[in-house]
Amino acid sequence: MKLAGLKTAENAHDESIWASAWVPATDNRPALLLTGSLDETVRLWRTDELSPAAPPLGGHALGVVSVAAHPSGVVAASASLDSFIRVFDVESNSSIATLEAPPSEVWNMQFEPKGTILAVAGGSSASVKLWDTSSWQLVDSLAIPRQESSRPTDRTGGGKFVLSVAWSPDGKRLACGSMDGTISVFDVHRAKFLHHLDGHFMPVRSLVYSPLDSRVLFSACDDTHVHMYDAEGKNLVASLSGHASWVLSVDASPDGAAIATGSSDRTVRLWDLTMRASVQTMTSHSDQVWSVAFRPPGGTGVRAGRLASVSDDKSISLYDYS
Amino acid sequence: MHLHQNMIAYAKCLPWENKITSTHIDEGAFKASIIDWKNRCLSAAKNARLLYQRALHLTPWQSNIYADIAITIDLIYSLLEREKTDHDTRQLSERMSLGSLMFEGVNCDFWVILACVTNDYALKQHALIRGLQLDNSLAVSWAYLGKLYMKLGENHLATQSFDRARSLDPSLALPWAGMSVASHDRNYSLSEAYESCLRAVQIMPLAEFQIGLGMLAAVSGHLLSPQVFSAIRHSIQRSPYYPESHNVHGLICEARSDYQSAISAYRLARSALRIASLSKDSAKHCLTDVSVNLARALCQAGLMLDAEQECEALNKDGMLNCKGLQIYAVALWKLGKNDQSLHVARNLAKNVSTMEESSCTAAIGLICQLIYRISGLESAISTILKLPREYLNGAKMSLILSTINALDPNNRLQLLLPTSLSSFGAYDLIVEMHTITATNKMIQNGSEQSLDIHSGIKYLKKVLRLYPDSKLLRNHLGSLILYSGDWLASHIAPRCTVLPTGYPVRTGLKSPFEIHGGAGVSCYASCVTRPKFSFPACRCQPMHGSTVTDHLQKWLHQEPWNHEARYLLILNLLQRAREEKFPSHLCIGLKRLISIALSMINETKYQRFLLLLSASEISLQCQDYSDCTNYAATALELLPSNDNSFFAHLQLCRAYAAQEDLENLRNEYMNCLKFNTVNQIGWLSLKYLESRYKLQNGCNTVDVNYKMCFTSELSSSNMWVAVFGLVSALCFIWDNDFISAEQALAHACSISKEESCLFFALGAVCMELARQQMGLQFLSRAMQHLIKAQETSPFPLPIVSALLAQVEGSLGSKAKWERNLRLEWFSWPAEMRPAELYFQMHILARQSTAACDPQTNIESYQSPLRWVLRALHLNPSCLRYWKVLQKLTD
Repeated sequence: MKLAGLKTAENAHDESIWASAWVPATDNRPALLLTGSLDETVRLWRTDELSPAAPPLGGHALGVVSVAAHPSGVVAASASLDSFIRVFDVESNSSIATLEAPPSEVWNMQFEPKGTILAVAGGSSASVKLWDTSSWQLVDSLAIPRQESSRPTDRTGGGKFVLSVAWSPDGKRLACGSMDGTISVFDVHRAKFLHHLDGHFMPVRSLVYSPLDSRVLFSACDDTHVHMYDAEGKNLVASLSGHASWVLSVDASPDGAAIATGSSDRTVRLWDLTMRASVQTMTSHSDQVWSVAFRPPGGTGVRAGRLASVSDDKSISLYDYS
Repeated sequence: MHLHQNMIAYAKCLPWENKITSTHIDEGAFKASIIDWKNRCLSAAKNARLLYQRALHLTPWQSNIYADIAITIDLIYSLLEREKTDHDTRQLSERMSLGSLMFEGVNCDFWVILACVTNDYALKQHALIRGLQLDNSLAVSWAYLGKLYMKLGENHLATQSFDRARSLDPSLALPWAGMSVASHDRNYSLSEAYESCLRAVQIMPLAEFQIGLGMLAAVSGHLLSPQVFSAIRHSIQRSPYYPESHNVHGLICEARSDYQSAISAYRLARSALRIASLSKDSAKHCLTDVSVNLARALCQAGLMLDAEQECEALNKDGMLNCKGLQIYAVALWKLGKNDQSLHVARNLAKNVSTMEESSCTAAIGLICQLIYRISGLESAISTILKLPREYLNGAKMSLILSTINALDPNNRLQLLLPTSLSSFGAYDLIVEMHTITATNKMIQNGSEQSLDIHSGIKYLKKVLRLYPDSKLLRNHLGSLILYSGDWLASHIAPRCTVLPTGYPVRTGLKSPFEIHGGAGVSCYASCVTRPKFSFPACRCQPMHGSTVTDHLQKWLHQEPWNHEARYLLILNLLQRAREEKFPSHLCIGLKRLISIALSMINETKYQRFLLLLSASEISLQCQDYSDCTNYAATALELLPSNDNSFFAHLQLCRAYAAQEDLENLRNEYMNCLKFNTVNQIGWLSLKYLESRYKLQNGCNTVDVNYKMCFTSELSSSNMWVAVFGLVSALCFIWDNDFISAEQALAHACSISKEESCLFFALGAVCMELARQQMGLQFLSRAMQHLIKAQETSPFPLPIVSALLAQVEGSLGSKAKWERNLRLEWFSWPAEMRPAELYFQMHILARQSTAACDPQTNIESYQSPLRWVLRALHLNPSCLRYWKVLQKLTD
């Protein structure tokens, strides 16, 4: 297993790039890379040449913090610091819906694997908001219960700020990570909080389930570690260390054999899950790497694995994963 | 027997009431009130003793009465404060308790009572151990044993005894209190000590425990806890003669920002200290502490003269310590005695080397700030560069350094700053450093006169991505966005600031309420949620839920004294009133609010000016012209030569225009031209009046001045150009010059491609030109623009579709005519549909075939006759409708 640099698009955006996601392939086009940036635009890129697939999409204020693509590849969503989520049609760039939340109550987003629900990390609301993807109405809000140890004299009011969210591949479980380092796991169908996963004490900025096993959850945290949890059994399986600074993003490869991480130490690392160690470090970026994303399988005649990373240095890098 | 016990309880619990309310506390009166209180307690105790004596007389074989008398006598002595050396009297209680033991030597409680009433340590220990021999699980005995050992300095033994007592009976207060005192010796953290003392107070509200709790709260940072507050209030009632309870009460009041109460509490503490019989040294030490506290509270309450006197008095006695020196320096500086203040600061600097670390950084920080405030940036920087490096470490000091460095264009202190922010650890500090860095960026990239706000915003956005939960960052960013002058600032700024739910804490440049309130008045379309009143063409997304005025009302309700809240609420309500076309209930409420606000004294001049203008505007809308001109004139007197006075003159212009007083109107118009303003909206209003009342005198001063106002902000400049085009077009329409109006609007549309209102106006003007037979090309142009207006508007705009239907009709496309008329029906809210719309529907209904589905074709919902009847019902004065009705009924 290794990564090979394919192409780097310098100055892909006018400002720091903060978010990336792959729009899955549809019948009449291959998969596209979706990126969001501080320059308030969302852009679509063709692989492997990283050429713009559409004119920049506007409609945001204060910088795009998160992008997500529907598994069908038809619809995508982007969220910005002003707490609006814009849902748009990938082909035509026409707005489908604008989802509004109170200020500071939108952070990362992810579509449910079947695409019926959009889960949004609810920031200072200490909950995960679930939006129905047909009516675009808020259907549920999974709140993190207060931990008993928090004292009533604490004036921060719970103090939880939900940063990241991840769906298990079977769509039954939802995990969310908070600013204080707790990871909460929910049973989505019963809309019930199950348990916390302990081990982090700093912001958990990214979460991803293994595509093969609905029990295995990976978390990227400011404490420079990546944890591998048994999300059902509440166990910490492994703690992967190697980054020199905050780990900002984690994604699992479609074959389930590796994960990639991006960090504010400006590197992208590839981790072999059987060895539980970092096997490769990419240093193509000159500033912190905000997001890494593996291309989902599918599409006409595409077998090769692709990994994209975006960074504060305004560039996008594309790697071949094999 | 119960009654007797109640008497004792009364004697113990009778509260002392603080009847002294004035700020100047008379020591004599304080002493008298304490003595009076003590006497009442004493008489209750004496009565109790007498009752017990009678009971003993009746039943001399009851051993417990002896013990009770012993306890009562002990209480009386403690109230009388007999010296411990006074053997004869003390022995009385001892003898009584021995009496009880004579009868019942196996009762372990009596042994404990003996231990409590005796003064002899050996006897105490013996009695307690005897009690334990009788009952080895006697927790009380262990607890008193612990207390005894602590008094004797046997801390290890004391802790062991307390431990045993606590494990035997955790519901006993004394061991918990004892453990909290023992914290110095063991690795028992401050917060643990606080917790265990809190437990003791909860079990047994004894004044001594409560004072201890207050002191622990002061050092462990729990002063704001309500439990501590109530405990200390209680302790004051129970033992007003303890100076500590008053002192801690003062500290608590200070922490709650209630400085007046803090001042009186410290004064009481001082009086109590003078009454109390303490040794001279310790009294002096305590007096210094209390006086320094008093000076600090005075300083914080803004009573600088009193604070200065307090410090001077301390100085005379030579008791001014480093804390006192700091307060002295601040008080002197606030009083404007800069030289003296610097002199004191120098004295303080001399002592720095002898201080402990925490007070050392505080002192150095204060010295730096004072030098910066008094002598300016240069001398502050040179002082800091001269300071030894070891004083410049620590988070607080780094904040001060980076602030001064941020203000310095040459960044001379850069080398002294810590290289990586993450070394601070605490998020709050890192975030605060980032906001300072943002300010630095604005200064560095800005010019002499103005800050480069955009670089600050950019930086803060990046930091917010890293620390999304920081309220300080959000407030700071929101404030900067409001300052930036961006066209959409009023919509973006509230989107990134979170309104606090609890008690509002002030952080950042502006509070979230101020940001929301400020944004609320700066956009025309603030109440988009109610299309009943207006049809906003603003592209911003509507905010759901409660509106800005609701939040501001909540804020004012929370802090009724807050003039800022009232001021912003008034402005926002005025905005709402304007959108709802000044309904009388809102006008009355606003008038009342404004008169309250004007009667307050703490508004700034500018705020008063705006309030007066608001009052004037409401009077104008209520057609009360004399009030209107009076308010505007008062406003003018307030700021006679300021550039804001343009708006007072403009208001007068509008008042005279409404009264058609052309002579005065012309005068005020000339005044406006004279005073000038940099606000575009002012010139726009003036231009409108100018053209409406033909005030122009040949040269187009207004147009020239308007163009001078443009800022560097591109998005808003463009919008202002477009709006100017719209106003010019309106003026041309007044003069029936539709060709020029079309040109002006076409220019505006070419600049602002997203504004549906402009396209709407342009389409309408084109239609008028076509009607005037200026050429068929105008008809197609009208169609083009109206379609564009339909597309760009976030809401269906009324009339647009009706006009479009007319154009399509004239061009011969019947299907499009029908479709647009139907669209028109749905673009009105139900209660606002005009009569003409019903009439149009009647035409549509007559055209359509009978087989239409009422679901898709609204006109077939009713017969043509019904439509006309409804139109007539709404507007019976229109002859056209009557004629049609006649035709239909014939």
